[in-house]
Amino acid sequence: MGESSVKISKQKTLTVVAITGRMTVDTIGDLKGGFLKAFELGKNVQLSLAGVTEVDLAGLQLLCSSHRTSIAREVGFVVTGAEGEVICSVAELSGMMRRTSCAEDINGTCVWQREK
Amino acid sequence: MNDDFAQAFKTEAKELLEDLEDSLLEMEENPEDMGVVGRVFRTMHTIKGSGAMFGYDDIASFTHNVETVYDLVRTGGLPVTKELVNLSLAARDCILAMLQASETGIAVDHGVNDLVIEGFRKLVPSGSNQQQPSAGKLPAAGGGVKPSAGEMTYRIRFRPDPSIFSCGSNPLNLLRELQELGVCTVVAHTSAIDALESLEPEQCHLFWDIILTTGQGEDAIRDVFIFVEDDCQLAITLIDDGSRQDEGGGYKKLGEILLERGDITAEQMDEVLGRQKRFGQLALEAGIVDADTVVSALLEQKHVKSLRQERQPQAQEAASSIRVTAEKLDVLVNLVGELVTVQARLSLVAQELKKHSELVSVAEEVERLTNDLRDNALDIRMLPIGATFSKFKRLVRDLSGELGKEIELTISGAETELDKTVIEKLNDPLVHIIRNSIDHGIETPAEREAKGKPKEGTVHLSAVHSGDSVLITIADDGAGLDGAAIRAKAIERKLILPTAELSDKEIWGLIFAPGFSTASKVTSVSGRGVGMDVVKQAIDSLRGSIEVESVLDKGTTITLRIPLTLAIIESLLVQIGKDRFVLPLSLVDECILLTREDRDKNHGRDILQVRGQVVPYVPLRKMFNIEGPAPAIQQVVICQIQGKRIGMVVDWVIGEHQTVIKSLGRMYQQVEGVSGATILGDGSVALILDIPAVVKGAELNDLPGQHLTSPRQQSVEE
Repeated sequence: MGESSVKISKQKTLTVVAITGRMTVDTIGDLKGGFLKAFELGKNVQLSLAGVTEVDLAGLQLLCSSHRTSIAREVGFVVTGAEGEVICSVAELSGMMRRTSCAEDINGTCVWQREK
Repeated sequence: MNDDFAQAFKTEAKELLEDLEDSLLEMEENPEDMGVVGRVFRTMHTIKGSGAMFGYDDIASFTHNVETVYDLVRTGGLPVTKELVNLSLAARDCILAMLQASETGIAVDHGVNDLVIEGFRKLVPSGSNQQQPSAGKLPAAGGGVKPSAGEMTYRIRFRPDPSIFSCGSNPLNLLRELQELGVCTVVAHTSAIDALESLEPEQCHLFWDIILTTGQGEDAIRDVFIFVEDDCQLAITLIDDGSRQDEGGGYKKLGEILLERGDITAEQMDEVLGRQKRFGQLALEAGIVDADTVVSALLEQKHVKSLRQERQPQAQEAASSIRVTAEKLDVLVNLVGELVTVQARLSLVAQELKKHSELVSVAEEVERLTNDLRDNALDIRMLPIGATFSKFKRLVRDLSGELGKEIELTISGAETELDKTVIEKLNDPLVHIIRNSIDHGIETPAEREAKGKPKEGTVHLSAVHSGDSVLITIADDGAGLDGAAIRAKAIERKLILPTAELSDKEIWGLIFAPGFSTASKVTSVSGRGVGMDVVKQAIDSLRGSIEVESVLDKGTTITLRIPLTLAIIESLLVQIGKDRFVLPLSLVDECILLTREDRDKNHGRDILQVRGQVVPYVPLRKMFNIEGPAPAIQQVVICQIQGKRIGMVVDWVIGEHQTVIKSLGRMYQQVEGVSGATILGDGSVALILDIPAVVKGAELNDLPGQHLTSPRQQSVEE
């Protein structure tokens, strides 16, 4: 219960945020804190989800929220490692996967948009 | 429960199980074909759904487990293997047994069912997200199945309270349950999700529009939300009742959908429409809805539109065919038979009263209409033989596996039509013949390789029309019949004299003798000598014939000639003394005269010369003990029976006749030489001769090896 970690690596032009473990409602508070720290560095953010073992709706919301934060702060935002079964099956089931992005996605970087 | 509905379910389920068997065998041949896997899944899903609907909970629960596994297969989570096909075929048999148990009251062996489910359970990888098959009941969502007429499409707007996560409820589970109810399009609305600074991550900021097509009714949908109904806003609207097709205009316009959902007002719609652009774009630009809302409405439009387009051909198909019980058709054919008899009588009366030309004209008109009606009524009962042929694929697959042989069953002429009753009676003889081909005919792979043949043997089933009959051929490329062994066995069993000269056809014909078998060992499949004589009897009872051709080490071909129908036959009406008899025209070759001089020339033996050939004959007058003197000139109707020409001596040949076959009833079933009766136009009864039985009876009264069994021997003596 509650096993997850956020590792933030500062690179020259990029802040890499690597998440390991669960991305669920019971860990989401800590994860949000880690994400905010990464954005506060003011660089582009790369979110690595390859180590995520479980995700739920709270986790998916946090990804959406991070994307919106990047738009508001005008920094780049890239998600890697989301192609695996863990994230995709929940995103598909929850109806997050979409053909057109949301209204906030002014630069076409929506996490859930397929066939961009 | 309404018995009619239950009966309809059973009939439909049996048809589905037949299709399922075909699909499974096809899946085994093409394991990569996801279309077939999808078909298997849908069949299981239909059986489960309608089983639960009509109260067959055991079937629904069992099938649910199989369906769960196939859900995994169709999403690529489990490969199609021989083991999966074996288990699926066994599961199909279990479902059939449960269906039959509901009819016969014989208890189902639940041990077998549990073993099959256990087998499926072992196939599913333990880390899979899929629910494991279990011998238990259906899960709540699947169990909430209620009767409803057809599939309907609902729009569901589900807006959970932000605090729903803290109540321990997971909306994902609800969405999963909805997807189990039918075809689902889900759109999550994300517009309420804030940027990280102001996000309350433990709260739910999402809401959903779900378009669901299901046959399980609104109550089943509400049941899904039963535990969260106080913690959400739920709106369920029926948007398609399953009756409408795509009438060209597709589904509602986007603006109409948004208006109906309450996402925009009529005024807003009018205002936007006034600008003459695509509505979705205009609505977005106007800022009255967000992109999620438009996407959601567009998906609803697409979902229902494609549904209605798919439904169109099905609806037309439904309108162009109806389901009628076989009994009703039998009654119709019987009534047509009666009408044909009465019409014959009317024609006779009209002939006698020739001066009433109007009556003659009406009688002719009635005759024409009756003939059309007869042809149409018989045509309704005609079914393609393909369904029967397909059943044998499973037989060949299972038996070849049991005997360690590699055999392929090929089929041609599956579209050939035969009367339903004929097809039903053909099943058992065909099973016997195919079993024999597999067991005795086709060699083991090693034996075949030693003979320079391909490892895999072939059994070919074909059907083709030939006049008023259908020729069904069962050909194998196996070892062929051993003529010497058959002859030796026949001599040992005193079926023929050691000196008898027999043609190949006559030797092959010996395999139809009761209890005849040259097999050195008895297998579970065949070799007990029970079978081919039963086949012969069955084909005779259909007024058909059977022929065998065989070449050692090349294979055997068995050809069955079967009449198209058993209800009405073309026949030849003859008279002996005052009695009239009917001979099936399909067996008749020609008619010739028989004078007293002809008889004297052959010294009283029952043979005559026809164009240099000796033809034995059966004097029917003598056979049926008809008293009175025979006319000086009689007639011989020469019939073809198993390649032999044999004459039936009658007093007069009256002519061709449409014979409506009536059974003789139980009291006369044992009478040999007569297969039924018909009522003639004047109301009198004529017996229908069973020619093969007449010949057999005549042979029994003779010494074996003499003229009827061996005409060639006679020819030599001449």
